[in-house]
Amino acid sequence: QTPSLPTLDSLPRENVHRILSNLRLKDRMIMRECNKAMREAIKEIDIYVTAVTIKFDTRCFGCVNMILHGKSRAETMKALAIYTEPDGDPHTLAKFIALLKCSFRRLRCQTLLIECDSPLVDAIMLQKVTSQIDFESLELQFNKLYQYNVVNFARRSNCPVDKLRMTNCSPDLRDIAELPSVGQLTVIQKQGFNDTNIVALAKGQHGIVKVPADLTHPSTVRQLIQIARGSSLIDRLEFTVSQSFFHRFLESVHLLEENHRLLDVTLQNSPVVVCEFDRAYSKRIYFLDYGSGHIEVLSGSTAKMLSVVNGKIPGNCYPLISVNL
Amino acid sequence: FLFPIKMTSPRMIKLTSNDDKTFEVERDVIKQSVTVNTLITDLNMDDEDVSVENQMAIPLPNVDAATLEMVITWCKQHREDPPRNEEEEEKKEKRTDDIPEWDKTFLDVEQSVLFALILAANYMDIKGLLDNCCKTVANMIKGKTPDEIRKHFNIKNDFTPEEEEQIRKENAWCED
Repeated sequence: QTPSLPTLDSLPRENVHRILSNLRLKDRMIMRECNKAMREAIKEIDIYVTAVTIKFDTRCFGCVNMILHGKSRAETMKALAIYTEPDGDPHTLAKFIALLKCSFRRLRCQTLLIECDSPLVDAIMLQKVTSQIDFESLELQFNKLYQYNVVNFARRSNCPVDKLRMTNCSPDLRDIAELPSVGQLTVIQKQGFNDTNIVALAKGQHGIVKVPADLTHPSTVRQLIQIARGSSLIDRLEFTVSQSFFHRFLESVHLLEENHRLLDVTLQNSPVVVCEFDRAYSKRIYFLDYGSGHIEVLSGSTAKMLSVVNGKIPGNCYPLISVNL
Repeated sequence: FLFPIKMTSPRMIKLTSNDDKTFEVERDVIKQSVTVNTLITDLNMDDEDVSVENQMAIPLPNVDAATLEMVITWCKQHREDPPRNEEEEEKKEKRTDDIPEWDKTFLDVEQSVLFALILAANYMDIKGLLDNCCKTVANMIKGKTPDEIRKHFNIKNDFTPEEEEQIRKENAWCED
């Protein structure tokens, strides 16, 4: 009796794995459709790509773009197209991760790039994403508005120090650089401005000077107020501080008052805080809570508060929305 | 001042296939097979001063004569290849367009022959041959539809229509 000739599905599983490992993502997905043995074999191997980019598109609230590099450009664009649907589902990422988990053993990549320019990308989401994908280096791209999310993530994360790389940082990264978990942080400041730039900017300004102050160093805050005091051009300084950094910001202000404590504040459900120093640099701080529409004055005059309310909501205030996956 | 030059013929190793055909192959050629190499070392065959006629043949019960002949041909062709660093190979990005031209022609054979070579390369632990065979099969899969793949490799579809529909849904995100 002649032995039966070997076929693809009669090969030992380790050989099938070796064959399938040479396939790109799309061909692997197609192999899953062939039969049960192939579907299981695909599930038993990792998928390895050079880079994964995750974009959180704020325009369609929760829509996630996931681009798997290491594929042809056409395939990349297809993946992109799927995840830029205008009616993007806020749970797209969770679904996609679930799909990856049922389709492959692990998604592994050299570089995981997450674009964090969205209030949706909070520390919890970052932890979820980074725990689902094996990466050799993590690159978080963010702008100054949502920098606190990245800081919170870095504080909570067990992400090894050499895997965190941040780009496009502003205005100040000292807080991040001092975090113990990111001792070997690589920072690339593409377009951001640092404290020195803020001060230089303020010197040349007149009227109202608006400063995003989440990560502005206390010494810079002091420097700015001193500049404003000495300037006949600057009418008002406005600092925009998000909740996470409010206490830190107050501490910078405390330094101005020497032994006199400016405010004793417990911040509750106030996602955006506008701190304002008027021309006289009195101790007025206003809280604008866009979430509830409620406005609370913790210090200063009621009249001043109303003028802020009726007048203009400063253009550099950003409502923050938290979404759980 | 003329020194006698000792002409030494290359050391030969005997291999026997599962259909009892014996092949003589240069020691230097067959060292690419980790399995055979280990056997030679373990049995101290390198130290023995035994002529090839009196040498014990190494049995390869999982490889038939036709396949073993092909394996030996491949090993002869690749005898000068630098040793592979498996750790480095694992880290490398997987690609299938880097099969050497000679191997492409050599591996342009019937599917059953190719799979027999995979089995033999796996058993004899010849990573280079195994890799190139697997890449050749991967190239056969690329760009085909599930139906075409089933037909090409004679794979039986054992999904129920419901299961098939479920997988199609899962795969929908990467389809055209």
